[in-house]
Formats: sequence, C-alpha cells, structure tokens
Amino acid sequence: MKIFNFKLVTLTSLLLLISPSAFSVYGTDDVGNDSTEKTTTYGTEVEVNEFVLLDAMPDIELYYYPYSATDADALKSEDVPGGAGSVYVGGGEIRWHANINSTISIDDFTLTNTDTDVIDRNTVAVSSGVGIVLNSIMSKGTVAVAALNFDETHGSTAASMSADMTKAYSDRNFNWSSWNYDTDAGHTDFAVKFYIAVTLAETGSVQAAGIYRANATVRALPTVSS
Amino acid sequence: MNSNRLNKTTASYTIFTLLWTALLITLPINSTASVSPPRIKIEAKPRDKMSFNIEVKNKHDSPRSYKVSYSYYIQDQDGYQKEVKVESDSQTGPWNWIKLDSGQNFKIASKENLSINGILNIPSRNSLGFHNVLLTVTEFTPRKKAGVTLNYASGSLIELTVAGSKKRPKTALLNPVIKMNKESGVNIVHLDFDNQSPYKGRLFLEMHLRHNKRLIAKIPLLTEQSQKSEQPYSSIFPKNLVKLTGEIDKTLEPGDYEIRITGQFNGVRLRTFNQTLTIDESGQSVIEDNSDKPLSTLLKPQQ
Repeated sequence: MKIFNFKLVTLTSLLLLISPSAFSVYGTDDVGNDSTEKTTTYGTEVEVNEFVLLDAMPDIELYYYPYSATDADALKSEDVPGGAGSVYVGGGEIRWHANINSTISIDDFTLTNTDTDVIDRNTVAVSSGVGIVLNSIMSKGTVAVAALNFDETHGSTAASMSADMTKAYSDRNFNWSSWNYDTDAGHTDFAVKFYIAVTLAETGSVQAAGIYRANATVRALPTVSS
Repeated sequence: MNSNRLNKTTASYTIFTLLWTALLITLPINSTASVSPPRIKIEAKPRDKMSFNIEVKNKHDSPRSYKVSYSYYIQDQDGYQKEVKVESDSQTGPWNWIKLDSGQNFKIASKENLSINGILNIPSRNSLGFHNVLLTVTEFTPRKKAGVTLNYASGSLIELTVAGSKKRPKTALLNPVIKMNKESGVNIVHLDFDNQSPYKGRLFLEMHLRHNKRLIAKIPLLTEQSQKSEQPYSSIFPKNLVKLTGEIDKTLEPGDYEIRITGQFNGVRLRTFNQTLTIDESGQSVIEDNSDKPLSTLLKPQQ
C-alpha cells in the first residue's frame, strides 16, 4: 500500500511538473504590468505612446484679501472690499499623470462684466493685475498627490488667512503661470499647488455693479524629448 | 464729500462681497486627457509628404467645441525649454507645413472620438534639421452664468527631424573657466557649448583635471536643467548655445592645471580638447591667451 501511495504521489507530481501550461493560464497579478509595446511608426523612427493626462481640474474660490485696498484703514475698520487696489486671492491643486516631461500652464485669464450696457465697470489693473503662480515644488506618487491640499482658510483679518492664501497675496505681482516639470522619472502621479490673485485697478471707475465672469485655460502638455 | 464716500464705500462693499464671494465660486470640473498620442516623432527628407493621426476624445455627456492652436519650444542657456505661442497667421514656421482634415475649429458629440488626419508637407528648401511643433487642442467648457469657467487643453508634440546629407555636427566649446564660490569655497568649472548644427542631440561631456600630470578629478559637465533632472547628459537644441558647469570636489591650490575634455554629441565622438589653466590665489582660473588657436576648432568632431 505504501509503495502504491508513493507511486501515486510521484506520478501526480510528475504530471504537474510537465504541464506548466495549467498554471500559466492564470497570471500571478490581478492587474498585470502593461509593458507591451505600443508603437506608432512614422518614417523610420518608432515612438512608444506615452501620455500626459490631466484628470482633475482645480476648484477655485477667490476671496477678498483684507486690508489690501489702497484707501483702507485697518485701524478704523475702513477696509473697502472692491475698492481701487483691492486684491482677491485663491488657488488650488492641479493633479495629472505623466510618464514624460510635461509643461503645466494656466493661460488666458479674462474677467468680464456680463452686462454689456454697463459703462462703469470694474477693471483689473493693467500691470500685474492677475498674478498666477504655479509652485515649482511638485508632489510625486499617489500618497503625496492625494495629500496635497490648498488651504482656503480665510477670514476678516489678514492674520486669519491661511499661509496658502497669504502666499497668493504675496505673489500677486508675479506671472509664473507656466512651468516645466520632470515627470519622466519613476512616478506617474503628480500634483502642484497654484495661486491666483486678482488686483483691481488703482484708478478709474472700479465700483460698477454687475455680474462678472472669469475664464482661464489649464493646459497639460508634453515637452520635447531629451 | 463724506456722504459720497460713505455711499461709495457701502455700495462697493455690498456689491463686491456679493460678487466675489458668491459669484466667483468655481464648480469643480472633471476632465480627462482628450488628445493622443502626446508625442509624434517623424523622420523625413525634404519634399516628403508624411501623414500622421491624432485622436481627440470628448468624454463629457454633452457636445463640446475644440480649437487647435500652435506653439513650439525653444531652449534657454540653462537647458530649460520655453514654450513660444504662434500668435498670428503671418508667423511662418513648420506649423505652416501641417494640414489637418478637421480644420482649426471643430465640434465633437458627447462620448465620441474624432480621428484627425494630418499631413506634413516638407519643403525642399530650408527644412533640414530638427523642428518641434506643439499642436494644442483646447476644449471649451460651456460658460457658466457666473464664476470662473476653466477650459482644458492638452496636445500632441510633433518632433520632426528632416535628414539631409550626412554631415558631422558642427560644435564649439567656448570660454572654459574655473571659478570659486566664495561662500562655500567650492570650485566650479564653467563652459559654453555651441551647437551650430540644425539638429538636436545629447551631449556627454567630461573634464579631466590634472596637476603635475596627476589626475585630480573627473568632472561631468552638464546644463543646470540636466543637473536638476539628474540626467547623465544634456539635451541641446539646434543652433543653440548652452552653459555647462561641473563641481570640483577637491581644493585647488594656486598653480597650473591641465584640463582635458572628452565627450560625444549626437552619437559622434568629439575631438579631445586640452588646455592649461592657471589658478590664482583667489581660486579663479587665468586663461592663457589662445587667440591664435580658436577653441571651436579644437572641439571639432573626430574625423
């Protein structure tokens, strides 16, 4: 009986060993690495398809930054939201995926009054009226990307504004709205904070009532391969 | 006067508190990449007619309008790429060689794809070399009644190399100098590399520093961009001059030093370049007069 059992086990083992296809039908990963070549050929060069993918557009809220109006007197509580020189700040996060180097930019910011009959309308300062800054520091990897958060905390005093809101105010005269990021080294998930500050004109008719609309274009683009 | 000011203040406070805090609130928009492939590499010859394809997807539940615009990248002296937009039709460049069957403006129905066929007509003259054209597709979001409307744009970058007769790339090495950072006391070698060819290429460059024929250090020379990207080479755009640096991790006593620079550009080995530099008491180098022997000739590619 023992000899029979030994022969049975040996035979079964041998059968299993010589039939690896029984195992190879099922991969060891639920989601295997997609390492297949995805090629497009034009002329003589072959290019592997890579990607720049922007999967979440930022939320923006702009808030009046206390005591920024030219004629405001903080001690007498005479801040004038919307008055000449007032600054509105906000920002958010841009998250994207890439396995090639990419450019992120925020372009074509416009502010218009929806009522075309309004003659006296609010105007954005001509010089540095809109400060847009993309942070050069980039979060990499799913954990860091998920954790990145623009702090929109605001209040009635400058001290109650968050560090992010204060940075937006501090950078109001800068235009760093386009930045190249090294996104071809090891990670595919990336995120950066961006800051926007809109400064109203110092002179002219700046208190027109109405509804204003703002427009901007967020772009995620590849850069030339190195 | 005071009454006017009070009225103005009250009005403006009411208006703008309402406007900016209530109206300029953005609704979140979820978008995904809609243009593929992101890069298209094309190798061609003058007078070739090359076709390519771009896929644009509308992933929304409603139709969307799209607009195609062109730009291109240039490279600054530190190796960083800067995008330059084509602002008017009168600007001429490789984007004029492109014809898209979709036109510049088009619409895509919800959840539909549009396959755009493009044709690149390479002219017979003034087309040799490397060209890049960024084809940006902007997806217009329907305007909201109020608030910030964000449009989304992505694109395909066409990297075109028009090959001609096989000529070795013309390059020049300029202004080698060793400077000392007074704060850190670290010596840094500075060089300019001038790519006079119409082609883009990878530059591998290394400097051997010798004192009394003894090897002191081997220093890789890179652009600032490459150092930040931790690349072992520098990517150099056509007809562009870049600044290269390398840190010498040894203290240099005053005296004569021999530098020997070797490397390759675009796969072609460069002729070895030798020069003697004198380091003075301040840690800076004094370059010997080499006017009868232009540096550019010293770094011609190996024949």
